[in-house]
Amino acid sequence: MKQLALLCLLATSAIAQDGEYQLRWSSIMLANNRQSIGIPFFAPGRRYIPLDKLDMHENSVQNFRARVFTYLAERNFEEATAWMEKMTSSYPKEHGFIGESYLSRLHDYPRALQHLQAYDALTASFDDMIGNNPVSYLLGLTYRSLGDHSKAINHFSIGIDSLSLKHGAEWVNYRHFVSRAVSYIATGQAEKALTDLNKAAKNYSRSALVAYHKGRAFQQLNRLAEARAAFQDASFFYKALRAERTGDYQEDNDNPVYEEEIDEALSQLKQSKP
Amino acid sequence: MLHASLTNGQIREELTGTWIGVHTELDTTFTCALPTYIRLSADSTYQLGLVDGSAKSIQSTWAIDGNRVRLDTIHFAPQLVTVQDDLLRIGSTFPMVFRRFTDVPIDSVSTYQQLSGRVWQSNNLIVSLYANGQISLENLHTKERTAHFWQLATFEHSVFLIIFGSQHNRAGGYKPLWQITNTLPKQMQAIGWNGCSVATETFRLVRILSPNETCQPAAFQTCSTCFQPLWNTTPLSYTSRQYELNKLLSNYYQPVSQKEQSGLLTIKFVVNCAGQAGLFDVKGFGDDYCPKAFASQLTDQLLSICRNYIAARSFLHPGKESDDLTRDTAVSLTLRLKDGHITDILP
Repeated sequence: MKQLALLCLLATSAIAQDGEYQLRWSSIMLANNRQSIGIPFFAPGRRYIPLDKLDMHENSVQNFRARVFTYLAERNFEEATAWMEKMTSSYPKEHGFIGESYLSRLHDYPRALQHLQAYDALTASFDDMIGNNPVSYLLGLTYRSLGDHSKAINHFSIGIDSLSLKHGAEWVNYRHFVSRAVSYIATGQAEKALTDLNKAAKNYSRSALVAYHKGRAFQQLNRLAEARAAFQDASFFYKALRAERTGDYQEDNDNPVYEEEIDEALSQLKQSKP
Repeated sequence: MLHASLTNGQIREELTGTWIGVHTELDTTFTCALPTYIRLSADSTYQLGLVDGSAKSIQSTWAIDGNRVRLDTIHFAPQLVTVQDDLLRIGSTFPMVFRRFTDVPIDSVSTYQQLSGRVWQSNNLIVSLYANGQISLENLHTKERTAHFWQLATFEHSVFLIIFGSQHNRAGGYKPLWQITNTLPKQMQAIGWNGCSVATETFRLVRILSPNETCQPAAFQTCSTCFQPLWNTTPLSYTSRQYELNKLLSNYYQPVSQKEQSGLLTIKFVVNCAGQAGLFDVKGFGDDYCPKAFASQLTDQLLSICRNYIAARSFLHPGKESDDLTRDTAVSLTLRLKDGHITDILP
């Protein structure tokens, strides 16, 4: 029995690796604690800002946004949307951020439209930016998601055309061309889509996303050999990019393309005659 | 409490000693046990080690410089190292709590014989120490019972009950440490975190375990002893997992065509390192974002897709790396529904 007890006491080697990890973790946490730092949004319980209190002195735009991000991360959509709506009455310019959140985080297109239009109306003759995109582009995405491609094309064109005219097509975000091309394809205007996709490819020549939609446009025009070449390019770029990037990567969250989709498109083409 | 009115000498005296890890407060309702100790000697030697001695301790020096404390190379901002009621608190963002150690000499072999193969109960905890090295902890109030491994470790002349790992393996971190201070045939006492405070708890002998009894958790258990779903969520959106998810939902979900079945439905669950799924949580919101309950015909169907298909997919399961031994994965899936049809999967 004594031997067994000793064995039990000595059996630390089995968790030695865990012990070293714990020691390292403790020393890192000690270093992290050397000064007070801002609490990350995912640790809501330790937050500075009381999440549920509405006090005008404390409600800066940052505090409002922090609440919205926290509740969205927690999937507490009731609180998140309540704060989103409250925010715009104190800060009308936040219609833009709120509209984008309804569009990309909640996929609530009617509410996104309402807020983006309210934001756009703040400056009647100006295409204001929201993050990296002009409001016209986000309105285009919203109309596209509501199934209204012709209105989407009109809105995509506001940003794309004015920028092309003023500074040249090389100044346009290639993803914006892709979005307009997607709507062109959806309305059977593959030629126009190809024009946009060629301009997009000039701005980013190694895009799997552009190559994939080129393939779809060629397919619509029944130019199957070119479609196959484009899908093969897409497949190559996708694999090359996957090798370069660690972790998950999607070129454009508004126009997601999956490797499996490209493979499917290729295998469908193989079955049909060129 | 350390404050400006104390002289450096008094602060130094208060800090000098050995401190046993209690936990790190990662959130107001979420703590992770600290199996480490800090030794601050009068000769300015600093030591950070593990109470069970399973890793080589870090040796350095410590000092007090004005109103700042230095441990090893870390200079703490003023007021971030405090002592109150024999508890040492370090930091304010993720405070680490240590308790002052008092050596209670006790014989480890007889303590082992006393504890092993027996069930002990305090006011809020039932501890079953199996002779094969496994242990179950049952919270008397929540009825939650988890399975781990145990061993005794000697620290100076004291004996600690070290609880670690999960029902599946010995990795995955530690549970709070208990310093055994006294054993009698039908009673033992130990100092540790009882869920509310650091206290000396009395455990009385409930019964002797029969050799056929096995150590089992009461329900689903994560492999990590320090698991926070929000921090361990595997993103599904915009990855190949999303493609697979779209396929699974379109293949297996039969729309429940009913007008009022519209809004957002969130299903959260956890897949542990052994591939078991649990901690399912379903929440619904109407189109107006007010909480709402969806028809069970709809939620049951989606829950079974989560349990039978999504949880079983290889992308949620750990690889063969040593880190993966303890990897638990949380999944959070939010669907937008229109009249019982899935119209969108939210990121």
